[in-house]
Parts: sequence; structure tokens; C-alpha cells
Amino acid sequence: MRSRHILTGICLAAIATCAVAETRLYFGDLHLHTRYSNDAFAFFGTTRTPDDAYRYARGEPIETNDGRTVRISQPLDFLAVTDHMRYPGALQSIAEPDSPYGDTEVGKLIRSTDRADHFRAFLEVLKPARTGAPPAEGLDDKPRSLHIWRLMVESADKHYEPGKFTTFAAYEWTSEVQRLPDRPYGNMHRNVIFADTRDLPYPLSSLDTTHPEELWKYLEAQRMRGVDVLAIPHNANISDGLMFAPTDSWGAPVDEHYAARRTWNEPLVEVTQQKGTSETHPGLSPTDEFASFELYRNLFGSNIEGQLGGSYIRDAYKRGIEYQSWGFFNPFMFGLVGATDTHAGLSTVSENRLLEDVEPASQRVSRAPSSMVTSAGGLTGVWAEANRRDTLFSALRRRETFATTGPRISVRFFGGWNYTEELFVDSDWVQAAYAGGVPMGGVLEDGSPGVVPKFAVYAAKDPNGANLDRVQIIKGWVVDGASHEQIFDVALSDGRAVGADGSVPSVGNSVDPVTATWGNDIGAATLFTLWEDPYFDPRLPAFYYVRVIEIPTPRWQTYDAVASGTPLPEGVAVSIQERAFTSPIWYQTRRPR
Amino acid sequence: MVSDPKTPVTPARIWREPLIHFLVAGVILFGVYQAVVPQDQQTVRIDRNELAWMESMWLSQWRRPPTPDEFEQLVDRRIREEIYAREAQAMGLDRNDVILRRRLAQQLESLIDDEASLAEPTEAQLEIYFSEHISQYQRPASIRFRHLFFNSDLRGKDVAKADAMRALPALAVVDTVKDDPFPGPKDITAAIDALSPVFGRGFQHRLESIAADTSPGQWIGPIESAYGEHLVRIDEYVPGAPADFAGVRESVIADWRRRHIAAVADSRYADMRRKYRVIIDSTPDSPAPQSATR
Repeated sequence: MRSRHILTGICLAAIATCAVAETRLYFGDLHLHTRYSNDAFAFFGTTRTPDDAYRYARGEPIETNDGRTVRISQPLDFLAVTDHMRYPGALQSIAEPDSPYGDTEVGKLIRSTDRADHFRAFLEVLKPARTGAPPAEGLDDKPRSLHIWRLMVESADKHYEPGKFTTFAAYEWTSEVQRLPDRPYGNMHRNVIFADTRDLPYPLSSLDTTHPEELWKYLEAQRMRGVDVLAIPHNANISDGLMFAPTDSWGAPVDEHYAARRTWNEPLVEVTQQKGTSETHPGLSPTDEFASFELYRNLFGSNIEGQLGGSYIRDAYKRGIEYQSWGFFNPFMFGLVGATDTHAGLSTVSENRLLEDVEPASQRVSRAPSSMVTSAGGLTGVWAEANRRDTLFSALRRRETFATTGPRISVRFFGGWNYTEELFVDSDWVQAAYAGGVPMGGVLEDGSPGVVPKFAVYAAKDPNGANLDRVQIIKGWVVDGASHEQIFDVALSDGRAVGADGSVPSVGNSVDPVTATWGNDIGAATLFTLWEDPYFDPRLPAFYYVRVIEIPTPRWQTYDAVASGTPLPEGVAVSIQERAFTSPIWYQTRRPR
Repeated sequence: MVSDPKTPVTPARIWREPLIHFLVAGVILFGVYQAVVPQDQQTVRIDRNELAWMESMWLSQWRRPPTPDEFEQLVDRRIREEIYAREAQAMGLDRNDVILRRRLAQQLESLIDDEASLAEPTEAQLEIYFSEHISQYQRPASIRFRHLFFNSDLRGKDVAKADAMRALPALAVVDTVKDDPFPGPKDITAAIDALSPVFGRGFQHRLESIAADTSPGQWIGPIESAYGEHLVRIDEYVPGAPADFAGVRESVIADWRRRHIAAVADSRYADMRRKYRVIIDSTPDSPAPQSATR
């Protein structure tokens, strides 16, 4: 059907050709919560506003709930506050002494001195969407909700300084869905990011619908009004297989129309944050020695692990090219971002500052055992021409982004047909790379027989952080309708080489658990290479993305244990190898029908 | 009237006396009055200011004025609250209630803050504050430079440094020499304290310490960064300068006020604290904290 081909063509062309020639690196966080999110207020006692979040991100000192002053160690370039829109600001408003809802059920719970009552107050927020029951008195106050949304947008505008610091009007659509009636809820959350703050509608919340396709309809309607907007799913790891399912949310099989809509509405996915990393799992990638990274498996409020299939990104990329090989559009062509998802209003990403910056008591008390093991949140790296809403949003759209698990690792990744070994000789190599190929997030098409794509990667350590262990390129491809993956160690530090059996000696470990320190005498400051796929077949769709791994550094529990003089908890590792994941470069052929 | 001595004083006769009738009627009336009309009435008065305050609180929460019904409910609720509060106090419920205690404390705190925030600083006070905190109002130094990069991993640490040193004299004659690709820009225009996320803290400090004394247009180095050695040509350096007071006056006033409020609060608390002797019990696990001994 011609219209589908045209749609496919437009989408591909739009995504592949709007690359720019000269870009700089900007780091930011696109996912955090303040007091206006009911769970932040109820569980963590967070009293910080979006104003505080932006001020902290810009480098201003902020006073914590217990009277200390904290300051981010390296200011961010951009930030989006994404509070939940289920009765935004309800609990913090009801808790005010002069609230007219003080003597309601919720009012009593939220003012109780027993934390368990605060949790019960929050459960009232969840009930309407879960059971269809009418909301408890005091929750559904439409003028208040509108007022809170206006405050969020005003705060974003107040702190927006084009060229210096970018803010986005944004919110979280907090859909939760049970895969089967007796299963715990699976996470289908998305963060919605508006390109600008003119003519904004009131957010569509998960109270209105829990179907992503209906969220997309809302986003499409906004675009028709001239308001550009996109959505970024997160925590696929606890979606119970729903995030990348083979069916849509009503159970109908995914088709081209779904795929086109998904790609256009959700060009990015958040791969890492403080509730675990969704890149892959040892069960899905048994030969990947780095697959067990910050796994967080238990579905919300339960001890039941989510389903593996459909919950991890590398698996989704593979499913995506499988669809492609059958002649359909690829529904899982998304780039990657990282974020904190902090509920304390402060975008904290360093392992060694995690407890300095948030209230230690509330953090320790409120962390459930399963979340005790995951590391601090991550960041998004964006390659854009300038630090402004329009340029950053454009970069998010074309997927020229990568995720880090916190450190400011810098990664350049390009794919092209004609790169030569001479590429890195010229120190203006980036211009040549853009001219001769596509950056991360891009698409290479229709290789001629005998011509192999070349990939250029340049990774640099966080200049105030740890050295790099290695750079890997992870390839997925489809043969006879079935997908496969392979990991290539394309650049290694300290003169190591890949053995004949494919194994690589470990980089070592300079972490001293007694002092929570580490040394940069192992690893490399920069790693770069030009790589050719030794198994390339121009008939087969494929994807390639880069994973950069640091040398081991202490985890936050190790810093905490040393600072407080207490032993490390059972089963918690001493060190962590922080990393970065780039958006893929896809290879595809336009198959005749 | 005088009773007739010949008539005996029997109960029946007493009941027929009008005086008794009046007394009984009086007692009955008195009893009915006691039962029906509440005694010792206190007054709860909701005055004009209170009504206006209630309406404005509603307006700020709901972004519209209350309807007559809503307002009536609001007033009723307020009256109920007042009466409950007085009764509760009479029953002695106000001791040991955490929320009440917190609210009272907050109220006093905000009274003190409000009072302190009324203070207007004099010009002299502002100028003193400004000069004492001048570093906060500094315009940061900014720099425009181009650099050449010698990658320590690629060449070896000592070799990179030697290569950089060897290239330096050549730059007196030529514009540029062959260097290595750098993970950031080669031409930089920035505030000096923005260099750390690109080059690392060490490079920023090193450049800061020599920039003022370097003549523009000449190549200097090698200067070490997180990635290797650099030769740097500073094209322009604008030293940090104390901000012009007039330009930052508003910030100075706001900062002074914030400090003043905190100082007043601390001083008032200190005065209050002196009136109390604090005893904190110690438990087997933790000895009593220091503040108990004062």
C-alpha cells in the first residue's frame, strides 16, 4: 500500500537527513520529581520545588531539609522537571495547615506522624486508576492541578537562559498495567517533553488513559496545533515485558502503522536511572560479561520479578530488526538517554555525593531492600549546535544522544561507507565524519556489494573522573528471520588485545574498600578507533551501538560505609564500572515488496 | 395576710397559699430556664478581617471566589474549629500534641522572620556587606584561546610532553603544527571556571594562574589536562573584576536580608534558650548529646 511506503520513506528521510555539521556536547537530566509528585512528598518527605531543582542543577547552593547546604559538583546544561500528573501537588497542598481538606481521610493520613500513614495517603492517589473508584476527597481539585502545572511551566521559563541553561516544560505520564489479572502492575511510564512553552495544553495524565497509543494521539494532536512534543519511556526493566511487547496495549499485533507512530512519538528510551539499567540481562545475553549491570527486577510493590522478554533494550532492538527483515517497519528504532528519576528534587549522579546531597535519614529509611543495590542515576549527553530549546529538542528528535550512568564520559560515534584510517589523523576529523556518514542515531542504507560500513568511535573519560577500560560495539543482525547479537571489544586500554578465543584480560581494579578511593594508574583517558564489521552482509538489517566502560570505582554504599564506619551490607559489591551507551546506527535495505 | 389561729396548718392548706404558688412557679421557671438556656456562654467572634482572610485563602487555592454556600461552609468550619480548640484546651489536650507543637513553633518562627524581614538596610550596611562578600559578586575571568593537543595515551605521557615542548619553538614561525584529535573544541571562548568539565580541574587551575601574566597571541605550554599536554595561544584574557555595586544592588539587598533574618532568628533563639535548662536522657547505646550539659 503506497501510503505506507510514503509514510515509511518520510519518517526515515526525516530522521536520517536532519543531521547537523558542527555540534558540542551538553549534559542534562530529563527525569526528576519535586514536592508536587505525591510519591516524592509522601515517601521521601521532599519539600523542594521545581525552582530548587533548577537552581541546584545550575550550581546554586540549596538548603536540605536538615539544614545543610549542598551544591552540585558539576552544573548541568539542561534539566526537565517531570512531576507526576496524578493529582499534582495534592498531598503537599493537603498537608498545609490551612488546607480546606485538613479533616478528610487523606488529610489525616498525610498529617500523621507515622510514615506508614503517609504511604496510605499515597495509595489513595493510586486507587482511582487501579480500581476505577472515585478519588478520595481532596485529591481531585482541578483548579489546584491547573495551578500546579502553571507553576511548573513558569518555573521552567524563569530558569531558561538560552545559550547557558535550558529547561523544558515536561511531566510524567505514569501508566501502570497488569500483564495478567493476578500479576503486579508493570511499569509503562513515559516522560513527556515539550519543545517550547507557548500554547501548552493541560497534560494528559495516566488518570485519563493508561494506553500509550492514546498518549500518542494526544501528542499528535498537539503537533497539529503547532506544539512539538515527544515522550520517553523508562524502566522497561520493570514493565513485566509490556514495554517492548509484540502486541499493542489492546493485544493486537504490532503493525506498520503502530511502528510509524511509535517511532515518531517516542524517538528515545531512558536506558539507565536509579531504579536500575534496562540495557540487557544475563538471561538474554549470556555471553556478555557486562550484562549483569545494576539489575532491578522486582515489579513495583512486590517480590515478583518481571518477565524478561520485552523488558530489555538490546532485545527490543533485535525484535525491531526482525520485523524489518519480514518487510515491516521497525517499531523499536529509538535512541538512548540516561536520567536520575530522583524523587528528592536534586539531580545527584555521583556515587560519592549521593548521601551528601540528599537527606541521609530519609534516603536510608525509605529505600526498599531491592533498591538498596542500584547505583545513583545517570545523565543524557546530547550533541547539538547550541544550548537552546530548539537545538536540543532537535537533537533529541534525531537521536543524536547517549546515556551515561553518571560520569561525564564523552562519546562520538559515526558510521560511513568511505571512512579511512586517515580519519583521526586530522584533528578536525569530526567535520569529515559528519560529511562522510551519519552520527549516532542515524541510519545507513543500501550497501553496495563488497562495500563494508566503517564505524568511527572516539570515547573520552570524564576529565574529573575515572579512566576508561574499553570501548565496545554491540551488533545485532537478523538471519532467516531470527536475530543475533555479538559484542566486539574495539578499543582497549593499557595495550591489551583481544585473545584468539575472543577473551580480553580484565583491566584490573584500583579501588581500596578501606578508604573508598581509586587510582587512574590503570585505564586510558581516551580511546578511539575505526572499526569494520568483519561479518557484514549487505542483505541483512543490523544495528550497532557503542558501550564505553570505565575502570572500577567505589559504589555509593562503599563511600557510605567508610564515611559512617559501618560495614558494607551483605551482598553489595564494593565497586562499579560506570558506563555510557550510545544511540544505535542502523543499517537497512529498502526491500522490494 | 394573717393566718387564722383557729384554722390548723396542714400541708393541704400550705399548697393553697398564693405565696407558695408563686415560689413553686418561680422554681419551675428557674429550672426550665437553666435547662433550656446555656449558662456561662463564651463568645466566638468571626470578625471582618477574618472573613476577608478566609475569602482570600480560598481565592489563592481555587483561583476563584467561593460561592455563598461554600463560604457558609467555610465559616461554619471555622467556628467549629474554634470551639473544638477551646474545648480541647480546657480538657488539657494541648500538651504533648506534636502537630500543635509544630504549628505553634512555626508560627513563632514566621513571626520572628516577618519582623526581621521588615528591616531596611542602610546604604552603609549594604556597602559593608558588599565589600565583605565581594568574591560572590565577582564577574568571573573569561578567556579566548586556541590549543593544540598531544594525547598522553597515544604517545606516552613523557613523550607527549616532549613532543609538545619540541613543537613550541616552531609555533613562533608557523600558525599550527600537527596535533591529536581532542574530545572537545579547539577554539574556546568561555569563563575560566567553565573549563573544568572540558579539560579537568587541573588544567583550569594551571591556566588561571598564568593567564593574567601571558601576552596574547603567543604560544605557551605545555599545560597538562586530564587527557594529555596542551600548547595554548591566549587571544584574549579579561580578568575577573569586582562587580559594579549599582549593577548587583538588588542581589546584595536580597542576600543581606536573608543573612539578617537568619541572624535575628539565631539571636532571638539564643535569648529564649538561655531561659531553659535542657536534660536529655542517655540510653545504654548512646551517651547524652553535648547540648544536655548546658
